[in-house]
Amino acid sequence: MASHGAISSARFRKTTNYQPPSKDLSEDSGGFCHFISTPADEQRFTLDGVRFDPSDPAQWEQAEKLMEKLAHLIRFNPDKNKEKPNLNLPSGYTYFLQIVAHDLVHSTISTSLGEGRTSGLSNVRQIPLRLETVYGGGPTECPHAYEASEIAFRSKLRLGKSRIDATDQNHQGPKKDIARGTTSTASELAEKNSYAEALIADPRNDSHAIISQMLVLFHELHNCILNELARSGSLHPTGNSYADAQRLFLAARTACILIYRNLIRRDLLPRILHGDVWEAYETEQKPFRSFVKGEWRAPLEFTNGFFRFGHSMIRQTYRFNARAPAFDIEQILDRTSDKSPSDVPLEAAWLVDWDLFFSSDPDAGNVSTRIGPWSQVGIGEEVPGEGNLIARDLLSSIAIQPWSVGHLVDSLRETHGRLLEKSEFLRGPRGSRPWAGPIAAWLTERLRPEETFGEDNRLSSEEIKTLAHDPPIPFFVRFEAGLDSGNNGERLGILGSIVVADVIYGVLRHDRLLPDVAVDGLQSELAFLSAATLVDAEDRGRNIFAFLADIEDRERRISMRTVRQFLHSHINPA
Amino acid sequence: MTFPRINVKNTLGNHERWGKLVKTWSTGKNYVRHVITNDAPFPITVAADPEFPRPGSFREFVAQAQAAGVELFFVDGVDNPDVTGREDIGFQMIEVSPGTHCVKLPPKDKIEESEARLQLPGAVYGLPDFYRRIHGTLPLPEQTSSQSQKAALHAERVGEYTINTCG
Repeated sequence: MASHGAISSARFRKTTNYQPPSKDLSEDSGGFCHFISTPADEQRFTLDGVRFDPSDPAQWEQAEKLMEKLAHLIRFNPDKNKEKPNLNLPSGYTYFLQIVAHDLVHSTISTSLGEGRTSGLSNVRQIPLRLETVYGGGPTECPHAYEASEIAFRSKLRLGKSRIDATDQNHQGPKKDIARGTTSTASELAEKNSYAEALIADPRNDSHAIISQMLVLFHELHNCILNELARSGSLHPTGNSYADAQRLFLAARTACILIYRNLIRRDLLPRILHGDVWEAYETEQKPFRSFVKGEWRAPLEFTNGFFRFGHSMIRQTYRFNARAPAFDIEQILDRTSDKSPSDVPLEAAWLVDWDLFFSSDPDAGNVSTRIGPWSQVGIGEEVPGEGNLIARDLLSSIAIQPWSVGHLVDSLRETHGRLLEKSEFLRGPRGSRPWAGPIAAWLTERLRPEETFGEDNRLSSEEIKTLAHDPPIPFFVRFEAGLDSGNNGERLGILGSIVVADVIYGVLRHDRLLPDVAVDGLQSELAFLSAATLVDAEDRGRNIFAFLADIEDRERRISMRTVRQFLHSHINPA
Repeated sequence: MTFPRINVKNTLGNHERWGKLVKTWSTGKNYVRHVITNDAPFPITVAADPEFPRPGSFREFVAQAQAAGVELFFVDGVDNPDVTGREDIGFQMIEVSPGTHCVKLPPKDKIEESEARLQLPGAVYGLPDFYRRIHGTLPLPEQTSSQSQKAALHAERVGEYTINTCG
């Protein structure tokens, strides 16, 4: 959860040889770019009014101290909002967002304490929002994530049996966990169970027990679609079983991606985006291009800044199902093959009942924390000295020398002026910094003697001025979500919404799965896919995905709940 | 109004920060800001104007914990919310003289509350994370999973922290 990169930033700092900092990250770093375009030097994040250069040890040290203080304030801020449930965002969406993040970015290093050493930073996720985080490169490139088959081609995603309880060493529970492997011998297993290998395409999807359970949901969806296609005999055999299996796989995978993209657009985005921004992007607002010569580039301000808002939604405890006690986030983070190989496969108490994660009733389920400059959790250090998740996000966001919020807003005034005018923190002429006053006032208010932060962590008036003038993006996105009037922390503010919407709508618009024809909604897309899948001209009138009609509700709206209900009825028919 | 038991969160470094704060209150030396090294494992000097004087109220107690970076929470078994210091909770700090043996009995209802929670399916007896650092392993499932193993461990731990009070 903590990192979307593969290597801890602290370990990276300790092991790498010094390399000069990148002058221009967008040119040096494969798969990344800056939002809109590469900012000029004077448009980048500043510290005390001076352009921040992470390779300058003095500036880095100053930044570390400042971000630690700000992280401390966010963590211990006793704002009453942090205990109020966010009825708009049940916690399932926190982790759906994490899947989406994993499907947009898979970076080779993380940057929070890289001290500007960004050489080697690259995004290896080049086909965004196509569930590469679930499918990897497919069965031939990533066979361990797929179920072995009598036919050489592995068309089904792997699932593993769960355990009834902690003493169940024969894994007698239902197939509701990801598959987990071992290199232990039979005698070693008899002495000590150890399943240290998560057999999945993206190892980050076993970074805690909720995300691995969400991955199970996607594996089930794929397998369910594939089973239905096979059962119905919709695709006539060709005489080549390998080719048939591959055709089934491709049809199921594409249907799955269409469903997933509709979930993002129809369910996730309306919940997380400011209503005006969502409406604008659904109608006339055109996203900036993030594809260069057909290659996807992830905007750094999005990956290392705005999209980190999901971390503010994390709860301290989660109820996985009605029979089990609530688990702490620390226990949940530990329940993985990597960290607890003897405590997996998951036992019954850890199998998620998604009704508890997609319910808006705080008494019935796990509703997320409101988005704002507060946090219910610190999420401890992964490595001693690295700082908690909040501090890492703040440092990571400035290490990439991003747009300053002020210059970013100025750049958006031409294209998004009407939207910016809707925010009390953003409206104003070019060059104005309307958020600076409210942020300074808010920070000052938090530092009254009766507040509880301690002298050593107290921001000075100069530091408050610095943060108010040029706030680090993860702080700004929390601040406007939580404190701009009307949001109440239930969704993103205007600027956060613009950047998140622009990146995601940009992918959806510029990376088309189907030929650019007018299709209206998921069922039309599936019908089009069906026609494209069927080889024989006389078959083209049939819709092989007709069984997916009930993955939406009666008003043809798709949501995580309807997908969950679809799976429930198809996997466990009455 | 009664509140659930308070504990320190089981995150990396949190128990160390908590222990340093306790030692600071006890000795007057600032362990919290002291960086442990092989050459200087413990602080030596007692500050005339201590940053962490012994707290006189619950609010001050929590404020100092937060200032030291210690995360405190209420063990309610449902939300485990943060302790903010704004709760209406009394506070008493007891210093025991070397000539007295102090046994601080855990409240009956807190013990029974823990026992009830341990019997729920999937419940584990959590140990502070620093044991993993020391022993190189999480608590072994084969030693901590059955109801009888959890009951024995509960008794062992209650006994351990009741006698190991430095008092």
